[in-house]
Amino acid sequence: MTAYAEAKQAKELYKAKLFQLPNVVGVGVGYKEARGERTDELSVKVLVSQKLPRYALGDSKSVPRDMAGAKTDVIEVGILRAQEERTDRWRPAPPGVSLGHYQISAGTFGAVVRDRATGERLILSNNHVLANNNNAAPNDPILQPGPADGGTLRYDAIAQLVRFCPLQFNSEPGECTYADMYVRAGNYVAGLLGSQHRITASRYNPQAINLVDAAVARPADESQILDEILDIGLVEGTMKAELSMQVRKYGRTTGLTLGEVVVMDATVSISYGTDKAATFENQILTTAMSQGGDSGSLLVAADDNIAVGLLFAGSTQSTVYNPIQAILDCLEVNL
Amino acid sequence: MSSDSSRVEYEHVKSVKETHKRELLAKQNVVGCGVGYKFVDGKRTDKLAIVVMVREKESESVLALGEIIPRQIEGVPVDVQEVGDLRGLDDEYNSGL
Repeated sequence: MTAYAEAKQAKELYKAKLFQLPNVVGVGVGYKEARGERTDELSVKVLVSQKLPRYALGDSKSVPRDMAGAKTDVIEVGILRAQEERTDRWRPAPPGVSLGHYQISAGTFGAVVRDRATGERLILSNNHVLANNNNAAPNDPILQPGPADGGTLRYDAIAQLVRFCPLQFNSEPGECTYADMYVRAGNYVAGLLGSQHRITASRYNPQAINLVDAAVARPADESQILDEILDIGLVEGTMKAELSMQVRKYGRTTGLTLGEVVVMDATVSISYGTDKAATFENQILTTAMSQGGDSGSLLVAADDNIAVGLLFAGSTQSTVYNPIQAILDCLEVNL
Repeated sequence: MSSDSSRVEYEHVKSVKETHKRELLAKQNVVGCGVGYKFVDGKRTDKLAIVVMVREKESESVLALGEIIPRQIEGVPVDVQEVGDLRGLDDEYNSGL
C-alpha cells in the first residue's frame, strides 16, 4: 500500500471520531508540516477552527499524534463557510447583490434610502430593475436574487415596488410603438402610489427627456435588508461628480470596480432591450466599470463613502450614471 | 475645476454643447455628447472639449457630408470618443438582447 493510501485509510477509519473533538471542522490527507515547513511525510490532516495547546484541551479531547500508523497534522483554517455569491439568496441582503422585479432578468440592489415623508427604509435601484421599464404596478414583488439568478415568486420575494420615475422612450428608427409612449412634461415621480391608475399613451415624442432611471421598493421585513454595501460599507451624504474624479461601485455581475469620470453633463441615447431607446440629460460617464446585471449599483467616490450617482447603462467601453441628487429628488428620498 | 476661470470655461463649453446637441445627436453614429477633457493620442489633456460619443469611430472619407462631426464648434474643440452602443444594464445585456 502506498503512503498516500495508508494515510487515507487511517483518515477513513478515524474521521467520525475526529469530528467529535472540539473545533474539528474537517479531515483529509496531506504532507505534514513541521515548524512552518512542508515535509515529505504524508499525514492525516485535521482542520480545526482554532488551534489550542494539548494541555488546555486534555489528552481525551486532543487530536492523537498518530493513528493506525499514520502521523496526524493539525492545521487551523478558521470557520469554513459556503462561499456566498452576489447572485445567491442573501438574508439579510446587503446592497450589491442580485435583485429584480419578478418579470425582469436581474440587476443590483443599489443602496438603502429613507422616504422623506415617512422615514422608512427603502431599496434603491433602477426603474428597469424594480419597475420593468414602467410595466409594473405598486406592490409588485421584487425578488432577491433576481429571476435570472433563480429567484422565485414563491420563496424569494424580499420587497414590493413603491414608486418609480417613469421612463419616456423614443421608438427606434423604423418603428412606431405609439402604444408604449408615455406623454409627460418631464421625468418626475409617478403619482400612482397605491393606485392602479396607468397613463395611457397617445403620441410619439422624440423630444422626451429623462433625468433618471430609478425606483424604490419597500422590504417586507425591514430586518432583512442591510445598509452597508458589500466591500464598500455604509455610504452617507452625496456630492456632485467632477471630471477626472476617481470612483468605484459594487455590482451584481462585476463586483467592486474602480474607474474615472470622463464626461459630465452628457446628453445620451440609451437602448432598452431590442426595440426602445430613451434620451437622458445631465449624465455622468466613466471608464468601463460594468457589465449587464450591474444596473442599479451606487456610484461612490473612490476615497470617501459619499454617493455620486446610480449606474444604469453602458457598453464595453463606458459606463453611464444618473447624478445622485436628481435620483433622490425624483423619488423623494434621502441617502 | 477649483478655480473660477476653469469653472467659467466649463460653463462656456457646456452652453455651446447645449446649443448644438440636437444637430450632433441627429447624426447616425452619435449616441451622446457632453463635457470632458480632450484626449490626444490616448492621453488626457487639460483642455476642455465637447465630447461627442459615437458607436464606432470612422474616417471622414467614408462618411456622408452630413454625418461628419466638426473638429470644433464656436471655437470650442470637439473630441470624438468611441463608446459602442450604450444599453440599459440589466442581465439581458449579457444574453445579447
